Amino acid sequence: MSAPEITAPLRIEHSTSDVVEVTARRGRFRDVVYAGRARDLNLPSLGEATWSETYVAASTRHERWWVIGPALAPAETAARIAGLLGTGAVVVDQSSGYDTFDLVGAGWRKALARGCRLDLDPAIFVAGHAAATTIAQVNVILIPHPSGLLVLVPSTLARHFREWLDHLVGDLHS
Amino acid sequence: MSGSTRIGSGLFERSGQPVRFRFDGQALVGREGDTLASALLANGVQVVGRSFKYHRRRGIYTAGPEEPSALVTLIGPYGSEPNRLATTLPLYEGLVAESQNRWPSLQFDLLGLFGKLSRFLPAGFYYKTFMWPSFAWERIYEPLIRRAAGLGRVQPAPHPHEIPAATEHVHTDVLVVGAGPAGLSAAFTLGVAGVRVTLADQEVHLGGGTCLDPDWHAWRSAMLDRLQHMPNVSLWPRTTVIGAYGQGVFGALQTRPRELGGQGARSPEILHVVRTAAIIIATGCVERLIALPGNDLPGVMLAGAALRYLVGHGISAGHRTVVFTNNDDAYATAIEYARRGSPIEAIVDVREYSPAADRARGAGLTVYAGAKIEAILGDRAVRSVRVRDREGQRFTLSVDCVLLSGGQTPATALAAQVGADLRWNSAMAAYTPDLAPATGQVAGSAHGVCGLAAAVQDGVSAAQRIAETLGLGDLEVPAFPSAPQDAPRADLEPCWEIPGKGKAFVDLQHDVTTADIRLARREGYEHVEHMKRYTTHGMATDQGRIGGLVGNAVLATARGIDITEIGQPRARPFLETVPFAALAGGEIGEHFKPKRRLPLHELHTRAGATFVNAGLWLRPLVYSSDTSWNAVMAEARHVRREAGITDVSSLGKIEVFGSDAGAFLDFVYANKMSTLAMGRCRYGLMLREDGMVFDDGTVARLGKDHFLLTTTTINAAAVLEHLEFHRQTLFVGSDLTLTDVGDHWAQFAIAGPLSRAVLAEVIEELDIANDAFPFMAAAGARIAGVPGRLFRISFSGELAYEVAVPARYAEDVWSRIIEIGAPLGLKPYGLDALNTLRIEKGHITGAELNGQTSAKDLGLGRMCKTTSDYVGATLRQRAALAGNQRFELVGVRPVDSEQRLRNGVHLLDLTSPNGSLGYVTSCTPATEQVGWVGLALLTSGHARIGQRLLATSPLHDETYEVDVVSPHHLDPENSRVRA
Repeated sequence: MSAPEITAPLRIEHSTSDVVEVTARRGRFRDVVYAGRARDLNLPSLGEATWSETYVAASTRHERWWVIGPALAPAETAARIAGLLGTGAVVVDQSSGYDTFDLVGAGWRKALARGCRLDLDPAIFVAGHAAATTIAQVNVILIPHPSGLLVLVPSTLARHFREWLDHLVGDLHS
Repeated sequence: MSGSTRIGSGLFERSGQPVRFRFDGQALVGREGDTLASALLANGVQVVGRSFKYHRRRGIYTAGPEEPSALVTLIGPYGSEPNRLATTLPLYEGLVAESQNRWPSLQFDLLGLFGKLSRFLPAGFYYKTFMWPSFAWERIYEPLIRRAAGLGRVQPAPHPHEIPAATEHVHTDVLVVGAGPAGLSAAFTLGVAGVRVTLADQEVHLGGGTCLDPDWHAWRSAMLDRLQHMPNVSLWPRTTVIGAYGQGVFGALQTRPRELGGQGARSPEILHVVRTAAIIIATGCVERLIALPGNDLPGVMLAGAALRYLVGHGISAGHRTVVFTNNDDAYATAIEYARRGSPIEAIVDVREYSPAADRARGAGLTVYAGAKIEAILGDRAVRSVRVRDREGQRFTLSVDCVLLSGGQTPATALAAQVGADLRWNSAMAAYTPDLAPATGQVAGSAHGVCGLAAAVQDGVSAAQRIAETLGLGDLEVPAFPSAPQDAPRADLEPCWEIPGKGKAFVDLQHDVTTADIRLARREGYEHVEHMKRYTTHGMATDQGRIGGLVGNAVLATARGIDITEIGQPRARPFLETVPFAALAGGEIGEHFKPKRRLPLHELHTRAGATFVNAGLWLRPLVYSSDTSWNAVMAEARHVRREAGITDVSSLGKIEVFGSDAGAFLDFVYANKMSTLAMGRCRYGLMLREDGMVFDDGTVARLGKDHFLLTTTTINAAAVLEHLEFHRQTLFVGSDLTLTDVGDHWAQFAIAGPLSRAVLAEVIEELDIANDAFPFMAAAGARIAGVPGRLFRISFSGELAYEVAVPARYAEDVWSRIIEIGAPLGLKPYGLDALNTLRIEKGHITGAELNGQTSAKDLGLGRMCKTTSDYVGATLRQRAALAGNQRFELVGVRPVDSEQRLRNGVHLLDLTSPNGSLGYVTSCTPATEQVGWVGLALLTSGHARIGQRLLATSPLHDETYEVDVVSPHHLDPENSRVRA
């Protein structure tokens, strides 16, 4: 009678990715976006995310983006992104600053509602969106995709977040 | 009353299977679908608790959360939980409950003596007694009062709940509160239109009044079936909306039936945080009591509750019952009782006529119209009632059960919280809420609508108005299941109190009587809010739902004003008792607050570190299980003599980019940063607007338009927020970017005379000789093969460097440095040793940066710019900060080198030790000298250097002499750091 309980499996994958934080310098927003677009790096509008073969780009702050890609040598991804976007962008390597969790399975929306204030309704928060919020007292970035959700978590709080997720999933499946 | 009162089956029974439980040690059997209250009633248990003040015997009075008396302690595997309502507690196999507020037993309660002394214990007696003798307060009165006070006892759990309560965030378009006919019809109307609807009701069985009328059962079932199949509609039974918090946010507490989850395997409660675009409040009514002598005796029950036990559980509240009413609703109970064969001795109605009375007489019942019950008589329970008929004749009816109905009071609390005006409704003799359309809608009986069919229609209208507010246009009325028409009704006749000899209660849980209300008025507490606080009327866990308005009416009468002028106390969250566990949710135990772990946390653990909490961080205190000064000083002395490495990754790190970065840093720091040369670092001091020191750290210039700031660990987030504030308000349009890189970079300090020799083995592509890489130099470098950064800065007072590498590679780099450095004498050191080293050097941390010290106080005044503006520049020059009567940073040393210093000891003048001149902020044994050294904040401290003072610690009963010295206990010329 109550809201449907989780029945779909929820798998938590904790992966190592490179994360780069990109900021458009004063007056260079269009330059940066066009430079990215010309090199197959579509930098999305605020609150949105784009996916390409190599990178996921998401924007949760005005004229700022997170770019997530496969783990390479130290600072190499940042250097590549900087090369793509030119001098109009400030590119900062955050690969060690954020851990990436991929919540796979339909149950992620119901599970995260335990700690997430955002409206995670599948009609509201869909692939192509991105948001910054606080879950389990940790500031995180949420990027939904067709099969789940990518979560960026500050690395020094990643273990806490993982423990919270594990506890949550255990409770929901008990 | 004795013997079983179960006379048939009920709507709420699922299977009729027996369920075994214990109450006060007695083994009893109920049925699946029972509440604890219904099961107790079915077993003939009439007394279930004792009242708060007088310890009077009390029975079950209601059938819901408004229950004032049937509070029990639930004994579970995780300890005991007091004050659970028997009327809402579902019965489950093995349930163990105990009555409370009695000693030694429910039947024989010694504290029942208070009842005998009740004439000496009126409302507010505690404001006038316990005055003398004064010594008796702490020795006698307070211990006695503490023992007698409170309801129930919290027993510490032998081990914590493995499954805590849960919090769930829910978004919806319309929150419908109450699943009676109005709530169901509103939810259905909106649901058919595709609106996201959440329908919450405190009951297990949705339907409200339709549950109690067999003619409506088919309609109810059909409605629930339709709603359950709507994917856009969520039905929440057992869920009370406990408060409104503005901006469409509501709290809703859902208790989860154990029978669905096994013996406590699931979270027992979920606190829903609901965000909704609109709300429909269909919270219904609560039946109210009539104040008359004996109205609290076991065997007295509200008529609506009795109907619920009968229809829902097949239980009759008594064997010989009389109904006392002023309205039509109670007749439904009497007629249903008669229909099921439970004897009704009579219906006593204060009104002269109503159509319901005709129907009752038609069913063969005796109705005394224009009559009243003057008193309910009995010692331990109801034995009889004294009736006065319309001719004034008095007679007694022998009964064991009295069903009271003083009318229906709309449940207005939630509506009031969202801003409803309360208006007097004469037909109901109660307040009904009037809500602005933009805020929400009130529907059904809560709206003053009488009758189930009328409530259905009102729910539809509310849904249509909500849809209009939400911009959904005109909603069509969907096809509803067929439903009966409402029977003709007569208005009630207000009947608040039947004056007479004996206690007439308006608040059963707090033992507030009509006499207490009148006493409050006589003592000047005339306003309803004052009366409430003086008498505690309505302040118990039931919030006075069944007697609140009655008490207010008694006050109005006492004041000689109309009840419409008396007003209502303000309703505030929570609308129901909420377990602390539900508020805490999952944030308990390990999850109470996040733990921030250093990138090398596991490595430090393997190295034997003992950790300490520093804010959210877990930092190595010392690399030993021995946390004594011996272990700490061994680490600190090793740094002074050879070399040590410590993890300072928790420092805040912010990168600043842009052509305006220099100007920005000049503005946020008190000292100049734009002149910093590339490849150099500078100590930076940040002030608040009020001129006090906010934070300190270092600034390194890594490129023409690229700076790196470090902050203290504790202020990392606050500094970033401070910088962002100024960037976004005063540097709008500037070429300026701030990026928090605190987690990306791991950072280690390598300090000691041998630190350069150690680092030379791991640094590539950089000459770190003193001339090539002097004190306060900064550069990029490969460190143990990893691209990183090197800074020559020192917090220890020794030759020192800080290396920074991406945290992902931190373990490799640290391990490599240790591997190479160990043969040279390198060892790790922890936070305590780091603290020892900095105190000796006179560096400040949180103990001195306490928000009350200025740059001048800390001896840093000369760092502050004098020619340009910066945050705090104006107010640091105010007169109050300019004098020399402020606390100033100094060093202290005990005259007796054997004497231990302690943090917090006060410093007094030797000759007139009458007042504290200051206190020691930090102290440590010295690494190279004998004895202890410390830092202190001392009034006119700079002028007192060279003086001798008294140090006193009353806590430790210690007083000794100290010398005031420079805060730089070690190497004041800085020769070591520049070596």
